[in-house]
Amino acid sequence: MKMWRRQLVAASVLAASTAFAADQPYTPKSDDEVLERINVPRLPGTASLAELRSLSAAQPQFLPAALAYARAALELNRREEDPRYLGYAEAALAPWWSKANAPPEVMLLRAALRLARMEVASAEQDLSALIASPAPEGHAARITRAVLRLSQGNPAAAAADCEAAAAYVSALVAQTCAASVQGLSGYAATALAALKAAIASNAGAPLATQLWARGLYGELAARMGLNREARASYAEAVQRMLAAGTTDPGLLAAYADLLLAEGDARAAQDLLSPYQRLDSLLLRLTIAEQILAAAGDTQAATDAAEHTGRLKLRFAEMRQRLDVSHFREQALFELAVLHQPGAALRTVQRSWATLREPIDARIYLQAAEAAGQGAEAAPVLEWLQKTGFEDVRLQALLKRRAAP
Amino acid sequence: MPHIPSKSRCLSLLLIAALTAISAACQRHPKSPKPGIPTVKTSYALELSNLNAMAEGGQRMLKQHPNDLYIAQDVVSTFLERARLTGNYADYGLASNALAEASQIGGKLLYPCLLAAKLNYTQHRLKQAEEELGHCPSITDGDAIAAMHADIAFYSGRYAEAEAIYRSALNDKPSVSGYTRMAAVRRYTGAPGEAMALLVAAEQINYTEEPVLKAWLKLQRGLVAYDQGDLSLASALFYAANQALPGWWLADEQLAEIKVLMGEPDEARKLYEGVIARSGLPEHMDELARLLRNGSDPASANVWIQKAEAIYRERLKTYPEASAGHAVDHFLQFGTPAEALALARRNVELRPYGDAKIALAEALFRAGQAGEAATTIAEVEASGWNTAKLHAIAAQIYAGMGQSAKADAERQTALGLNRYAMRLFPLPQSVQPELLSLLQ
Repeated sequence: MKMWRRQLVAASVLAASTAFAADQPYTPKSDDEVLERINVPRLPGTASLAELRSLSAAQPQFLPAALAYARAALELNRREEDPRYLGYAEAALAPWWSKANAPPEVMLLRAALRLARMEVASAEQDLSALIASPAPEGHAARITRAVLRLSQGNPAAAAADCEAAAAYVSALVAQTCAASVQGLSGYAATALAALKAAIASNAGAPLATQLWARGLYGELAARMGLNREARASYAEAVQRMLAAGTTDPGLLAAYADLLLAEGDARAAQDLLSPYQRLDSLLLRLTIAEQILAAAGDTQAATDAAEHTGRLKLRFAEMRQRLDVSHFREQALFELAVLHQPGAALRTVQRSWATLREPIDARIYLQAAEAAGQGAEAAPVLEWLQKTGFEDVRLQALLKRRAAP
Repeated sequence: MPHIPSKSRCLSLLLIAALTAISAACQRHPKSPKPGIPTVKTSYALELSNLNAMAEGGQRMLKQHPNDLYIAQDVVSTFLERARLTGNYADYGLASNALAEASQIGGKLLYPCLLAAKLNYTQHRLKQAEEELGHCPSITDGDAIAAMHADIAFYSGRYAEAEAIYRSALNDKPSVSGYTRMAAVRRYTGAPGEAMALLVAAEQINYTEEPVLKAWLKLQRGLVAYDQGDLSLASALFYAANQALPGWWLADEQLAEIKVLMGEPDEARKLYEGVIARSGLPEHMDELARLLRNGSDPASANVWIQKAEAIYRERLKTYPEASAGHAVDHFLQFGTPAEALALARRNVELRPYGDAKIALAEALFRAGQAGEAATTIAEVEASGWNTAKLHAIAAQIYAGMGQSAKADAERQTALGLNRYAMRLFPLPQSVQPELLSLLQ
């Protein structure tokens, strides 16, 4: 379904003369019409996904082949935000998927897949089972659960997992985990300083870890109002990401949010234009285009209209297929693009049940304020009080709330 | 009167660790069989039984002839040979005690320097082995000293130096040990085809009926075929090794590895269980555990992981140098990154050759030090070491660092050497949160 829709979207780009109707299916004029050009997905240093799939299909019960294929598919999902890859991974693991006593590597991947689909309860079951077992995958499960707890706005629980995993993870992973906890617990300045030192002394860390650490550094700096530092950190991370030919949607989204908050919509547009296939990034691009359009950029206005249509379609599709991911993005879309704060508030309230990161708190407060339903923001205020969380952007919102 | 080691020719063959089996040909099957030792159809069990009898007999004879250097040296050699056959480290301790006695008998004039060097070399104490060669009396076989120098050079990462000595010896007088030593160098420096030809030449001039040597030569050819990704040939040669020495765990272990690679876990499991029953070695317990972890009852692996760890820890206490390198793999997967890295660094200090440095690169990567891992891999590549494993690990390290072009190039090189390289040599990944990017 999603693939078909994406092809539809691509067709509209390729055939610029074709008027795009967001709510009407597109029918190709002939079988020869190119709807989408898809690169053969492949990760550096590995076989192509097609090769891995053939190997797995040739011996479906051969776990190493299944794991290789599933891992590659999951990684491509992380880079592309394309749920098709999650389906591939699940199919590869089908012989073990429903087993409670699955091999540890399967359990870890299964948990990752379930998290990607926001099936948090079942993912946590797998993670907890691994953590309770003596399997070495328990350490990866623990650090994963720490990040999950952070995303749930529970730094105290995350701290326990970060600490327990410390001996089994690299120094930079351990320090980034710890800094994430501190950053949510009222010690953002301490976290920022520690992270700065950790990044400097772990220059040879793997790319994924470096991007995580630098992204967090940018986020912490932004929360403290150190926008120049934040921007520099994000820019450095993005440069490394580009040099590696990879995509980190979370990093790009966070950087774009900072640029938009600074009013640098043009830079956000430049950053995100190549990533229109990714929902979370197309959303930020559309926000940037709306800002540029308001400033008189007619092309941006056209693009914003088109992208708004696309996003509407994408969110509608997600909900049609009972996909419970991307509620945060939908809320932001409704708030910042559609200017429907009431709808945004309802959506973010749903999202808040599972995701309580700083961005969720901001969207929540903004939506409640814009909808004129300040009382609805009580859960966020309670969370802020409980954690001691610091963020100058939130403080500004709270000040406005407090003002008569 | 102390006996001059007339077997020094034989002992000179004992240089590269893998070649130790050759000494068995010289010692266990002398021209006149020792009374009481059966010479009928052989097997691993029988060979071991023979060695046990020789060890006991030798010790008994030494008590009766406490000044006989020949007997004293024979006892040392027997222990070393048994250690080689069984993988049991306890024989190093026994060999060490026996060597002390032999050294006392020989005095400075007849000091058994080659045995002393070999004992140190076998336990990965290259510096001490080199020092022992410096104490050799003038009467010691010069060719044997040179060969030991070359073996030490090889494991010190000085491949060209080792090769030059091996070549010179081979051109001087072709021998089984000469061919096999040269084969080892060629195998690891990017010329497996030449290595195979050299091993064939070694088999052609091996006129002994010594089963361990015959089996060992088949096994070596099998390993080269395995390196080249020719699993059919490798299997055939491992079976041939098994026929030459029925029940030899080393051949069965190689067969088990192939079964794992081909997706035949039940067959592999049976083989590993049999191997463990005979060898009791932690390396095989780890392999069985890896297999069980992927099966229907993953928890059944735990007991083997724990057993293996207990043995490694005991070994590391008693034979720290000999066991550091062997323990790296276990701790890379089942221990903390810090412990694996410490062991890998120690191993490189002891034997700075290609495979030890590759293991260090793996441990560095696992510990999150990808940059240093890449530097280490680059050093190995520059040294002349050239194997599928090297390039497969390099590909994965570069991929982890985001160096896509280098990663792809290394992968191609690895697959060119062995089409199964990327399956055979997965890089232990640094532990980090799953779904990092999704949850940011």
